[in-house]
Amino acid sequence: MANPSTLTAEEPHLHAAHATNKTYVNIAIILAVITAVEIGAIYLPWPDVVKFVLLGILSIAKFAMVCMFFMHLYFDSRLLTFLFAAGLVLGVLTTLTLKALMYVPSLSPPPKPAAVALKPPDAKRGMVVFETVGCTACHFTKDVPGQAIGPELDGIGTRGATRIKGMDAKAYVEQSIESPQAFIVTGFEDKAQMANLRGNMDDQEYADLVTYLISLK
Amino acid sequence: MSDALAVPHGHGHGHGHEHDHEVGCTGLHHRKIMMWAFLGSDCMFFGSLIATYVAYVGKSPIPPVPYDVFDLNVTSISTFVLLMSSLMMVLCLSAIQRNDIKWFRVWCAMTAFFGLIFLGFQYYEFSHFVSRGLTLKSSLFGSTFFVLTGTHGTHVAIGVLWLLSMLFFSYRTGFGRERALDVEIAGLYWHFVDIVWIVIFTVVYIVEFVVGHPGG
Repeated sequence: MANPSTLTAEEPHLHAAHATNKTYVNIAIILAVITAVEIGAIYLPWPDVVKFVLLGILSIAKFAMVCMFFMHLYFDSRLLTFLFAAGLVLGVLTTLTLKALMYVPSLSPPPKPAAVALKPPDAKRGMVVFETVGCTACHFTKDVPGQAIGPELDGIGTRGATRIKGMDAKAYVEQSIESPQAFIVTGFEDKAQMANLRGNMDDQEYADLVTYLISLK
Repeated sequence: MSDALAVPHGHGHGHGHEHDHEVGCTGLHHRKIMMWAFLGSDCMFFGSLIATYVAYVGKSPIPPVPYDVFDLNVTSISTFVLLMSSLMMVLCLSAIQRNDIKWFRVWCAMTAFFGLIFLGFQYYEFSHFVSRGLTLKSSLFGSTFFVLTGTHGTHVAIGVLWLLSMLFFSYRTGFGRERALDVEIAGLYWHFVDIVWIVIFTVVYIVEFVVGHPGG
């Protein structure tokens, strides 16, 4: 019998002697079952780390089965396995390295220093903060274009004072930034929930932004 | 010594000198080696895209976040469809190796059809995400997600075109067992698209639902 590792591409029918259609169907069934187990693992009452390990093992098992049987690496020359594995290992190492780099504190950007003494808040500077900090992903004003996922903010300096009883416009705007879910404007309940962007700005930028917003009468 | 070893340069196969240049000292067909080398390089390509997604997931403050927009039911069905297309692809290769042209055409057409179904699910998913405000430019999550899954979808689309062209030529020219290598190489590409999705399905979708809260 021919050594599978020496079979040429002109004899693919000889490879087939190692795997029948029944084998392929069985492999496909196993792959489908593993996928179902992966989905079921989401709902298991286990710690996340255990579930991640389980998912990793299942995913590698599926990957290996397709490579070995559907792609015939199990029967083919080891040279082909090496060619593929070389790229695969580099790809995996790239992923792990980048993920690790993002988690090493010494290599992460330093946190923004807190402002020692705040300057008087300024609406013009606040408008720049509004443009750059991420607000325009959902809001817009007459001065600054943005997406219309959240409410338009022109007039918030007036409207804000009427939203919650006993709360003026400044307090309302501050609450909306620091606790975005505290009050949802009618008609926007089903939209994507607003993110808390307070951590993206220092105290000076925050004060400027609030001043800008309540200047929108 | 096996028959295969006795004909390392293609003699005795009825293909003449053309094949003398296609099989080297490894006894493996050059095109097959090239395909595996390409797939290895494509691993690095997808590795960098997956790495970028994984590195930035949960770091974007701009909504929507993955948990808000992912639909596990839709993605699970499309994953199942792609897995089954891999089975059909290998049955397609098995048919051509038996010189069974009728079943080769059936499985080839079914593989391409399942690939189109997968692309349909992806179109539905992308449309849904855009309607929720997630675009290529809206956030880090949007950029990394669409580039990764869009690149995979492009690979699927190329695979579908490849399969359909094979199906087309099977009607126009003499197509039989001697073309098994062409089918095998197309199959390698198709299975690769499947294994990349196996990784994306786990790393991008399932992990997000395990963590179970916005931002991953």
